[in-house]
Amino acid sequence: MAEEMADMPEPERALAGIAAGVASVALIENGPAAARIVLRCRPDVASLLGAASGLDLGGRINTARLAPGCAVLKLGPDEWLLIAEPEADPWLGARLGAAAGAGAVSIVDVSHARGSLVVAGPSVEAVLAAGIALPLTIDRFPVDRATRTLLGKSEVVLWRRAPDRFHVEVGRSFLPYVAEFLSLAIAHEAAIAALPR
Amino acid sequence: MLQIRCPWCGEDRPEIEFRYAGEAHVVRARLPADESDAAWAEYLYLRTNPKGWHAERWHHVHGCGRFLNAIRHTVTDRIAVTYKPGEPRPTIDDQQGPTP
Amino acid sequence: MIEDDKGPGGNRFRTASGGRIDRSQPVRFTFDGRAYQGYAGDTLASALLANGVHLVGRSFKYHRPRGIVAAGPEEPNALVTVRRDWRRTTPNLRATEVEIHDGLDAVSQNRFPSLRFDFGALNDRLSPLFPAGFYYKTFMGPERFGRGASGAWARIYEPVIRRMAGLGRAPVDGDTDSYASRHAHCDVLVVGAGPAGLAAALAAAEGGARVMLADEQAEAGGSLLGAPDVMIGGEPAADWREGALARLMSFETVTVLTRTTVFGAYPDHLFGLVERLTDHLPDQGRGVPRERLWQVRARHVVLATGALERPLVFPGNDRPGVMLAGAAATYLHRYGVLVGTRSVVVTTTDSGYRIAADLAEHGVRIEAIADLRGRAGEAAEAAARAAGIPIHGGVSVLGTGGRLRVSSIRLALRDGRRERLEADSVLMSGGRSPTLHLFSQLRGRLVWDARHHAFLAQDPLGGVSLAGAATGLVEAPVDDAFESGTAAGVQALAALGMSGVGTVALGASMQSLPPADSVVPVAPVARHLEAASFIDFQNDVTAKDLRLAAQEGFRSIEHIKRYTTTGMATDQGKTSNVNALSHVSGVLGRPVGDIGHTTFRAPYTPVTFGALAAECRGTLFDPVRLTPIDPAARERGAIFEAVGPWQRARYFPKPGETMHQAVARECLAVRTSVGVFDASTLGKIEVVGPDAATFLDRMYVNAIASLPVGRSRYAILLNEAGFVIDDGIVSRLSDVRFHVTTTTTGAARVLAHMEDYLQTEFPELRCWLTSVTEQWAVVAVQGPRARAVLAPLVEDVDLAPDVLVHMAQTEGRVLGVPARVFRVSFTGELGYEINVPAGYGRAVWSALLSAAERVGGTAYGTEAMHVLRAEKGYIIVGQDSDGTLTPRDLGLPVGERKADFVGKRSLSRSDMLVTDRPQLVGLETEDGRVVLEEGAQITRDSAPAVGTHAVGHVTSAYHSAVLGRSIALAVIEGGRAHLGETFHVPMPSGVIRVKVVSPAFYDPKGGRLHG
Ligand SMILES: [Zn+2]
Repeated sequence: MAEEMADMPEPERALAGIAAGVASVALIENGPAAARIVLRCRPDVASLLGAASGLDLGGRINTARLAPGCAVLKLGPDEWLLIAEPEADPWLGARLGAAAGAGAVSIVDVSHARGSLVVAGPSVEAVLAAGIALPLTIDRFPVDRATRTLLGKSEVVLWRRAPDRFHVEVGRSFLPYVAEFLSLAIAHEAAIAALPR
Repeated sequence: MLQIRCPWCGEDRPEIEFRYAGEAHVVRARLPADESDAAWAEYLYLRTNPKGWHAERWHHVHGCGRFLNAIRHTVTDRIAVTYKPGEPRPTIDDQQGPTP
Repeated sequence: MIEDDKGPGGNRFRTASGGRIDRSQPVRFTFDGRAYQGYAGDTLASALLANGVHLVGRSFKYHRPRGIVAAGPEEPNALVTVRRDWRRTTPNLRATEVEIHDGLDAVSQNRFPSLRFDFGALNDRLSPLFPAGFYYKTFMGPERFGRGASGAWARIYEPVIRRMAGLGRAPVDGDTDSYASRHAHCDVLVVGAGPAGLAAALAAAEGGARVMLADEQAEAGGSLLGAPDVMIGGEPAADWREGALARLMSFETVTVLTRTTVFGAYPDHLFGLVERLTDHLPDQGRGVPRERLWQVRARHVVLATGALERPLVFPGNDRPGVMLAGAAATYLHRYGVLVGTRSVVVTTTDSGYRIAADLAEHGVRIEAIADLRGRAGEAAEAAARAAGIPIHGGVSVLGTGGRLRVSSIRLALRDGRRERLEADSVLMSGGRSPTLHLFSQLRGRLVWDARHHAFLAQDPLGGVSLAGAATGLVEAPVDDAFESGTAAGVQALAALGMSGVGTVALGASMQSLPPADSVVPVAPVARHLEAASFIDFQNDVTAKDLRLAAQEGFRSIEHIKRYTTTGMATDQGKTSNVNALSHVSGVLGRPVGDIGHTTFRAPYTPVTFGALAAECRGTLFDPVRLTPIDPAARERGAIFEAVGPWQRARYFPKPGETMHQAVARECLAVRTSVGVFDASTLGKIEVVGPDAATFLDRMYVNAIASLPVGRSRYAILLNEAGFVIDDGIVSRLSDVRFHVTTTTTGAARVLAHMEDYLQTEFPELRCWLTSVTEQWAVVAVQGPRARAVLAPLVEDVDLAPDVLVHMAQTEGRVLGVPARVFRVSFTGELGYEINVPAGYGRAVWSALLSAAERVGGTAYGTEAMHVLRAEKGYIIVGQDSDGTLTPRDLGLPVGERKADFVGKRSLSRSDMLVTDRPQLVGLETEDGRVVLEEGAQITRDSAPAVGTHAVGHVTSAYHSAVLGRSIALAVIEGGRAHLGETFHVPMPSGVIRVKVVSPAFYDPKGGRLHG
């Protein structure tokens, strides 16, 4: 029966082709295509699971750890968001599933539930601070800090990748809002910088 | 806008990340069917509503997603301490708080 | 008397040199349509005064001519409207803060038809009719007009009063300017960049603190900007200011914000700031933010907010040309403007003498110093005598003369003689009040200090330091302000656990301050002169009004404020507070300290709505959520409706179809063939873990623990009080994994509700909740041909009616895409809901729709969905229920066989068991063409009298195409006992007769579900 099937369609990105911004302030582009898994379990299970899967689940809350092909963002005391290369999807799920065995673990695929933006540039802190109430200076929000918060009226996961670069994870239907908000913030920042002093 | 120290995140976070969730330490009976109408009505509807220190619940809904308890002064809005659900209510020395 | 407005470009009152204006840069602007010229660096007020214009407005209530009083944000009179274009007009700007630029177009307010001739001034003649509490006393009746929103006040008086009395007009159309916003965090926020603020910022910055320094003026410097001769630490003030600023700017950790007002202090040291970016510039074009809102969280704040000079209370003190002495000095030194050529200084302070001598030195003829006190300090008096100024001590002011500008002042001298002095300006020096609005908003207590005749900050407040004149150092030398600023900066560092660099000389603490000028309280005004003695210029409150309020029994200053309106509006007590209190104190015979002060409300000066909204306007006002299928529905010409934050396809009209026709066609297609529907907005939660079944069993009314793998169940969610808050389908994917749906708008609420119980009541249960609303696009395929449409497109799914039965579920592939296939129905027909990962949603919807169209099917929208479910009597939570209905009320299962679930205990409370609770029923209108109105009330009587109790209301009403008549759902008290009976729906067009029926209008046995 499968042979009669039409070709499986290509999945659509949540928000394709975003490229906006002002180079002297910050630029916005789509984050890389990714597989995403929300992993939930108690700490004792987490250490077993980490050992078995090779993922480092031991980091502090609100930080990110990088493993080959997969980033591990600890967003809650018992919650990890795994962001992996798309090809990693099957093996990641399988590896975790096997490691989990019959244990008390929740593994849920949210690959399509979110999209991401990469915001980078010399004024990236100021641009994000238009909508985010957390302190974003490098001393308070260092590289590989990652946390859920609000940007304007949208929930996001904010992850600092480099001093001038942030990864912003957004629910699929909120992505256009966040992209527009940040574009406007960049335009404002550029216009203010150009005002006569 | 308050700053609330999330005991799970271990840091101060802005109030907009939280949702208020009512008075703390109002415990649901293990067997509600055994409760009298009066006791159940009290559980549902009667709250202490103090002028002063108040134990209340907040949900760090746009943060770590966890519920927490806070002792907040209902006149000054000052939060003396936050702690995890299930932990006993700390006693607050009234002198600690600014008197209105 | 100086003739006003002789002509444009006069600048006749401009000094030959001096001031911080740039005389090489003339600026042209208009005021009330007349062209004037000023210079770069001028405010509208200074430029008008340079041209001899004092008359700038009419007062709030009596429409009395009013002039410029001050030189800063405390200006009560000179409120103007600035027009960029017809959509961008800003009312109620203080002319003392409006910086002029080429093309500035400002107009006066509260006058008709013109400033010089104003009809409203008749109010002034009638002023005995406008006493304190006038509005409350006069505009009460007549009773026949009713009360409240429909009463005489709202319908007749208020519109007229609002036109006559009031500040500027708000623009009618949307603001085309844009506004930015920024959150910021710092160690030390310094408010005010005068000498104290600069010193505090420097000290904190040198100690390594992250510092923000905000000042409302165009440039930092505060009082130094108008004090060219002052020395700081042996250096001319201007040089010191330049050096201090340059040093501050050299720190990466320092942010200096000018044209920035710290307008409010909020809990936990959050401060609201508004930075004016472009108002002082010629038009910058679209998209350049006009203002920026800053929300600053500071660990420590230094209030170097200075002090505001007080007017004096005497008859005729509101005439244009009567102004603050300190303002006159500021206009002279900062702007090179003389506010007049012949002045009388009325004073209760020694600084009045100094200013008089200063002005005299710059060519103003000071006719006299009229000191309301007995005597002045020796130094002050000597300086004035040296300048040849006549001094009268112990005088009182009997009145002023002049119509649109002061021309004379009448004094009663100590020896009983009366004297009339010609003057084009009268300068008041009534002492200064520390600006403690923010201190008060931070919940700091203010205490009355008789020596300063002002409120001072009482106790130290955690995280707050005061510096400079704000501490009460109001008449002290600048060096003291500098020292107190440095001390505040060091104090901030210490509080933050940082240490200052080097040693800083600690300035005078409050206790060791040199005594301030001897300031006497406001000289009492003779009783018969109180009606002309203004205390609050902006709100037109006189000494007599306050006396009246006190005599009528008002004792609390908060009540007196509301009764007389003193200290309201933009003034917020800046100029009026202390004078009002002093007067009330005199009337009541109680010390000022016992009376207290009114609340200093934020904002300190008005803030535009634009700044508060900032980016959140237009498409960014609220996120608009679109489903993955949205673009395909748009291509099909769908008409959309908002459902919570979502845009959902409401119906899909064919060319020429009305909504009614399209919905009827869509409904019939589902009943007779097949329809395809985007249900992606449904909330979805994946519940996983060994205790998932136990948890869901405790949450839902329905039995979940016993649900077999591969099966689904309609489930009702209650709150603990027993009321229905949501419903959905719970499906068991495996022993430990459930797929749960919620209503579209309930998704976040339900997740939070479940998290609450899981985390705080049942923390022992090992299961977790993950929102997958956005992971899955959902395509509902509903109708007798649903299976036929689906069959060719699925793999690994056995659609056989006896395998995938109603309320069964399986995983497989649709169009090659991994899918969760649920056999469920919200239409009463054979139906499936196909869940595919969101990125495939559009392709799968389109393919299923094409397949459906080949067999006569169609796409349908939310409107048809509503009709179809109503034909079956299926409720929509939030439409047919409203948070006060139990499952029993709605005719749903009540979980009798389960031991416990959230809300169960409440269902057996006595109130929940009474028989006349509202119950869901169906209604049929006698005339099937009539569709009831949702929300309409229902009565038993056919002709209910006004006030009749309504026994229920209509919750849903539609035309049903398949039944060929209208249908409705309703809740009626004890409704199920009245099946077959006639009730009435009274409407403006007449009473509609309805019959109570079962809510299941179509296929009540449900046979079609199992097709
Ligand atoms: Zn938290």
